[in-house]
Amino acid sequence: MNTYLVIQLARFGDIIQSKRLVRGLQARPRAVVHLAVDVSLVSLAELIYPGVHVHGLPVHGQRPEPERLLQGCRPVFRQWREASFERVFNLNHSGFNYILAGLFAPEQVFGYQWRHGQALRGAWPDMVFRLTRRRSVNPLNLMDYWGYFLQPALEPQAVNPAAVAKGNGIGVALAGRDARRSLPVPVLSQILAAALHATAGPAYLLGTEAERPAARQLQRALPPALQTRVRDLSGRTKWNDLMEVLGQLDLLLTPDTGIMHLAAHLGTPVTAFFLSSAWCFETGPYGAGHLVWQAGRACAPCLESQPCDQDTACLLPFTHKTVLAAMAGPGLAGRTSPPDPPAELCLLKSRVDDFGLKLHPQCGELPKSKEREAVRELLRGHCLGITPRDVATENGAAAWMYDETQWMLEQS
Amino acid sequence: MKSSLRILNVLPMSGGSLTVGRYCTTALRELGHTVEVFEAPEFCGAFRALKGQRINMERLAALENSFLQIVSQIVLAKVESFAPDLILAQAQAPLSRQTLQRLRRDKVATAMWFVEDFRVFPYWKAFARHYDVFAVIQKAPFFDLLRELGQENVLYLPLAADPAFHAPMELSNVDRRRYGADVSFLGAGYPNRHAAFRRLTSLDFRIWGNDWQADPVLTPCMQRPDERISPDEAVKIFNASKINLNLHSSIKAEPLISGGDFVNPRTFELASCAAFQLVDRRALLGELFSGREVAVFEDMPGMLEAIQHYLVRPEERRAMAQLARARVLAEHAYVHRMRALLDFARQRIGLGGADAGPADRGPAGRPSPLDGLPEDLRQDVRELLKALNLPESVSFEDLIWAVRQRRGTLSDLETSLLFLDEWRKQYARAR
Repeated sequence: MNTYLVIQLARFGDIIQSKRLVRGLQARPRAVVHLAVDVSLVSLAELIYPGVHVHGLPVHGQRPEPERLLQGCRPVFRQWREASFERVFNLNHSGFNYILAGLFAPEQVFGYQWRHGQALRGAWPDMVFRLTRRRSVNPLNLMDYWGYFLQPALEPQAVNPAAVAKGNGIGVALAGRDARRSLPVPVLSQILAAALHATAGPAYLLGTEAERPAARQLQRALPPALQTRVRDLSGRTKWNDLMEVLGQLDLLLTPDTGIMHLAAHLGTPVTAFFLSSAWCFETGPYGAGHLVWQAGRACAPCLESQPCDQDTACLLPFTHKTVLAAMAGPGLAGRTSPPDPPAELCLLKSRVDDFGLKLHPQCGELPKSKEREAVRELLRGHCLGITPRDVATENGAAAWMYDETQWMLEQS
Repeated sequence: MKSSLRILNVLPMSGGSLTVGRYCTTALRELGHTVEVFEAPEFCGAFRALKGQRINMERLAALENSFLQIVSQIVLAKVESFAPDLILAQAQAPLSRQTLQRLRRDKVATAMWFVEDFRVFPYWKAFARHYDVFAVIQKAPFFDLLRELGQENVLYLPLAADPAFHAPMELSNVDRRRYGADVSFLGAGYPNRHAAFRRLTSLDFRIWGNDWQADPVLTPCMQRPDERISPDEAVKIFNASKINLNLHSSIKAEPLISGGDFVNPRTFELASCAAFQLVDRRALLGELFSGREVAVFEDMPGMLEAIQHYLVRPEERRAMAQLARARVLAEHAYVHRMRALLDFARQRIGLGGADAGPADRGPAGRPSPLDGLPEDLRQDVRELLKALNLPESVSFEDLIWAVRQRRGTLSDLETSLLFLDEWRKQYARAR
């Protein structure tokens, strides 16, 4: 048996975005895969990854009592020490992850490591860390980032099924974790109304208990004739209920959310709205056939942690008539390419190639597309170990992506 | 017992004060403090490599300076993560003036134990005032000179021994033959020693140590010339010799007995081993050891006479040596020196702040790692504390630091404790 451990201690969406890695490990001969997640996400992880041994650790939520934490975690750690993992994939740059890496010999651990009390980044995370300092030219989807912790990585086509409408209406994910990254109710209601005009099916409002007030506001903001088609499921779905609803939709309208990744996991078409700090190249829906409206102001993507001094101006183009027209277009909402794109907004469609997710502009343009493409080519060659298609293009990216330490020092 | 402190010990890259620095670490830990060590010797190879580049001198000097600045920066990074109450340094520790100024600005207390002869190693003039406490092995006129330069917190702190290491030992017959002699000397070859020891070649006399110039008269006495003798072997030599000669070094050949002030570490180490020694008169020796504990000579005739006297009086030697060890145990161990240094720093610069005082080791108000744990877990944590040589009253923060210093993989208990610590940090950040 080849036993692997993946430590993914981030949130809902990140569990799903680890799929390329986890499924890649499962596809290996005689593989036994263990996955550590926050205790609140154990049942989700079990649904996403049948056959994987899921371990829950208290990382998010209420601070646990010290003795309960020690008593709860210690048997898990003991079990891991005794499990003789061939490799441990430690996916997050967090204090918890570094500590867990300390249970294993540094050579066993890929990603975020611990050597005699010193936290260390492996070569691949270190390189991508440099990339995250220039987010506007970052073309690397998180699914591919974690996917390439494993070499060779799982084929991108084998990760998520291509998007196909399932026939049971539209879903609306109400909010992501940061309100600034989500469309406010007055904007969302216009988009939903336009989309509902293009289909006869119901609209399911999806979210947690915390989103119930927003769900009520959204319903009231719709024209009365459309209100009757709304089914408010916010705060009423467990993970399996949510998966069942998502798995039957024609379309999910969503900001950058875990629900979006779950829909993509199921092959349900997504039309996503990315603004503020959300950057579709990093966390867009994985698989072929999804659409993303990406705000493209010069300040995009911004930092969640910093206040916006532009009064969230990147929100304005989302109410442009072109967007609404595209949502109300024939076939199904958002399936056509509008001829007259608003400024500072771009519609992109997802595909996968030999490297991973690729987003192709359908209308509008985003800044720095050539630089982004150059970085992608460099990463593609780096991860696939292939001859460059256009070394001159890659060269500019190589100058800052490859630094002296990589050139001169042994890489872990 | 005073409250427990977090101390960063910045070792020098090499030399005699490096050994002293290591003994300080042991002593501070023995006193219940949490000690993090900056292992400067690990950077020594890179520093030496610079000197082998066959490059322009000015360029080399600039590069060496840059390298030392980098090393200083690393110390600052360590200060940032360890948050020490005190930084202890020994002579030649890689702390630049810029770093010392930064530490003072950040209110991080610094103490230097300058275990060198101020006349031979004069660089203190540029650095002494940048330390908050300056401990020295000499008195007048060094005290006044330091005060003149603005250093008010000067402490006389003579050298010492580590009684657990510098201890009497039973030697095998092989070791006794290998290391033993009627008269031995262990140390570097200084001009006064060359001149004095030429008079001893008719005896069963062995010389150990490095930096001895070729000297045909002394050649028959030299043991493994140019080889540095390890501290472990030194203890064997001390224990195996009937008379250990201890002639303080002098860069001048005359007078043979220099009559200087400070007392070298060998004096304390020999005493601690309960090894009989014949030591030259030093101005500061009398207040450290009496004539009943060590045999003292004033000049060459006195040395020769004493050798003849003590060689044939093993009981007298043994009695004196035992008294000498008792004196070390009572007054001259590194734990005594470190306690004195910290007391001085508490008194002069308020080291330890409100926590300082005659409380137990656990800083007041800080949670103990045993608080609120069920009995089975409590027992395991106790075992861990024992393995880490920590008292049960240690603070949770200091336990975590000690666990982080462990080498190799972590146990399930250690990982659980670090996991708990991470929760505490996140909770503190969230608030």
